Amino acid sequence: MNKTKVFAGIGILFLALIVSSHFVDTSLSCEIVTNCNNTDIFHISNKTNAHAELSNNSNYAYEICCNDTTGLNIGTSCSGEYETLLHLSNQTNAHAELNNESNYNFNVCINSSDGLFNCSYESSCDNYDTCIASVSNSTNAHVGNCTDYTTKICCGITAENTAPTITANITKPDNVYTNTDWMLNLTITDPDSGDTLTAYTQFYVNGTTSGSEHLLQVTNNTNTNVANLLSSGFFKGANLTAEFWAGDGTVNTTKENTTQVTVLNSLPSKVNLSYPENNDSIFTNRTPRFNWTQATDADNDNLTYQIQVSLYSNVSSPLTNETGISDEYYIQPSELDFATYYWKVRANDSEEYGDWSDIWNFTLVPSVSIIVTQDTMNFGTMEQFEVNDTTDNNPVPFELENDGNTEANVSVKSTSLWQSESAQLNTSYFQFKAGNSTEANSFDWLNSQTIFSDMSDIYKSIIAILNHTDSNDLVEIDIRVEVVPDEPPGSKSAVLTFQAEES
Amino acid sequence: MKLKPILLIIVFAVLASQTYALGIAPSHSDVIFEPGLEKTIQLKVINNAHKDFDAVVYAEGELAEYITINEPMIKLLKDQDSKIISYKIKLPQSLEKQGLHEASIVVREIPKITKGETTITASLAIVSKLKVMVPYKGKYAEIKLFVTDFKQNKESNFAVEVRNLGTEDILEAKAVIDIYGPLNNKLETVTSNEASVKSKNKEILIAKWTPKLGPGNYHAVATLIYDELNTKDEKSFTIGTLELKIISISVTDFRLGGIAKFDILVENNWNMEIPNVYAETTVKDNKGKIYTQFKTASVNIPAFGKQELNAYWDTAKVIPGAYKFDIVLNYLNQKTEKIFDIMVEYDKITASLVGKAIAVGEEEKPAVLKSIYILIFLVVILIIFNIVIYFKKIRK
Repeated sequence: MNKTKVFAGIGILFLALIVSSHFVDTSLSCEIVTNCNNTDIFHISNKTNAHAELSNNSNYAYEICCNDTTGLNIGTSCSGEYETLLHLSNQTNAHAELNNESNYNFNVCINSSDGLFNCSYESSCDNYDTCIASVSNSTNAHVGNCTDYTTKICCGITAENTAPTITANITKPDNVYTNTDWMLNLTITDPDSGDTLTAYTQFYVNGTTSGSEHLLQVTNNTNTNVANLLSSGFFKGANLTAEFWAGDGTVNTTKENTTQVTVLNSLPSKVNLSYPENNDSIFTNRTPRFNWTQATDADNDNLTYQIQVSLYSNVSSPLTNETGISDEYYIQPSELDFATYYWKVRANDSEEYGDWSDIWNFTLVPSVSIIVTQDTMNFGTMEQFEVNDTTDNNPVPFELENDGNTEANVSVKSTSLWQSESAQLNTSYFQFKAGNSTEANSFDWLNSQTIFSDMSDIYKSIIAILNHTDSNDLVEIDIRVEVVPDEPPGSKSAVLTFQAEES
Repeated sequence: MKLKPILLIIVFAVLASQTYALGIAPSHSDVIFEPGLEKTIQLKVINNAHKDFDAVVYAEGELAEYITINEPMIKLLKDQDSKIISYKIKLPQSLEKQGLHEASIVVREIPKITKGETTITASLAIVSKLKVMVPYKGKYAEIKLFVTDFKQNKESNFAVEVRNLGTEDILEAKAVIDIYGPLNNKLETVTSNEASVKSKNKEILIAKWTPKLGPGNYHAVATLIYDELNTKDEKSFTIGTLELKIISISVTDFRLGGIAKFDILVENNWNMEIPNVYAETTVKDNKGKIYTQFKTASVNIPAFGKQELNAYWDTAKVIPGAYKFDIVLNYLNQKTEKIFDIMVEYDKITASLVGKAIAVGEEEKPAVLKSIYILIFLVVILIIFNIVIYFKKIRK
């Protein structure tokens, strides 16, 4: 009998332990009253040393009345989940016995539709919510209040655990790129206060698990970023899903999956322009090399570029619209005309274009620039009557090169070479002419001075329309000098000035 | 003491070979006249030769009295690419004549005079012109046609800048652009959008065009029609890029040990004859050893036409095997290079480019010729057979 009691006690304790792990503690309160306003469990004839009757009888004034302070429902049903408190010998005027005895057939039960009772016979109910009554023996016993006998009927009630639910799942961002982490936000709701809620996430890339399972404790009913799939874990075109579920330490929700997202192509970065410099108002290169810095692409796609050059400040109706440029520059193939140009560049990763660069502008202006290949010509020591010129390349003639970006006219003047009055400027003793250099067709032969003409101290035209293209922009300037008989001895010098202006 | 003259000669030689350069930008500045207009114009003096030099800056010409040079003496240092200078203009209340009025802003280098014997020193001066336009009474426009590097079948734009240099607004202006071929034959006409242009203002008109013409040089003449007046501008332009293509190479009647004649067929994609086209050919083995180099005769290739160039290779000491046949086409200061893999056999040379066989060495013999060979062979066999039978009969 004692063994049975011990077993029953251990069983109840074990059951209580198991049950308690699935249930939430609450507070049961029972007392002996004469008018029960809560749940009437059974009746006794007196507060001590009493007979008992079932609650559906009304012969006894004292009622064991129970209540759960947290509002759990309490009943006396002996079906479903319930605890048998006592066996009675009859409906009323009955002796009692413990539930592990089998002499009586009338059961006093306690149950809850939303909680679970944990009852036991103990000498002290300190570890339970309440003491319901005490009994004098294991069978054929009288019943009394909790101080009456040493065997006390102790009970506790725990609310039944409710599984959490996932009320919202959101993945961010809506458009996933290879340079953006993919984030999962969950809202987990659990009516059981005090439960520790955990969110679980497993990411999948193209149907294969990516990384290990993510766990995060979350706050009840609060939208929380529970896990991130780092951008390093996927690539363009990959299909991403996240499997997620939640647990409250007792029970887990079923596993769910997010909507599948496909990693989109990342656009190339915006291009930064570098040359020609923005707002350069005196730009002179007619075939500029447009430079920009290399764009970046999160997908490491090969990039090409598009350039547009226009006369409009918004780069509409472009004169140049080149695509598929694989370098970070574009060399203008033919000469631009003089104007203000606006230009922009964008990168393409073979799927899409990135943003246009800022619009830069430069103003291409004409320039005249002349190079003279030598600054001095020396005819050496000359004798009276001696004539010399540079047509035989002894001394070598001056050579002028048009280094500007437009055609130029050149005129020449000089200071006097000779001292003799008869050989001053505007005489045949000091003459000039233009001639072909190694670069033929460099100037307008017909309108240039191609036969020797007298040097003057006022500018005289020598070259008309000197080309500026590199292959045809060079002209020879021949000088002829003649010594008059009355030229006094000594060194002679003159300063020629070539003046160039736009044709 | 003996070194001194040598040093002097060296110094003189160095000095004698010195170059001088001077440039200015912009080489002209346009201003539309307004009474009492005050403006500062910047100029860039360019020191292309990177020399130290001093220069004077002054204005001359009709409008010189309205110009103040801010820095009449300038110094450029050899490490300076350029120097920005400026001048102010303060125009009078009126200029009597309509049209263009000019001044020259001159930057003249101060020469370092060399003396001794009969010496002539050169110095440079460059001019930037100030062009002040007094608007013409009534309606008057000038245009500038902008062309681009057109590509066949790709839409691009002509642009026409319209400057209203009259005193009245232009109510309606549009440009008609005629496109001419190399023979000055009009090929196409495109028309721009229409726009009004306020007096002293400018507008840009755009004419879209998708060239269907073949690659080559063309000429565009833009006529601006504005309020029953018109004006023109013209420019040359290109469609596509000039590139001669090697269509094929072939070797005919080849026998190892003889002279291999390579027929190189070249195509001209341009709308003009390309003169003086020649090829430089090199035969190498796979280790780079050169077997022969040959320069072909020059030919002119007609517009959109083809022409054959011939290169020769003496194969007397050549063994059968794989070689590289490098062809460099030379034309109009351009070069086009292609390298072929050639396989030399005893009776033929085959060539391929980028893994594709493009020519067969020995020309395939015509079918009739093949039949004749077979016939001859059969006749010979028949004769031999008859002879054998004849002799057998004699023996019997």
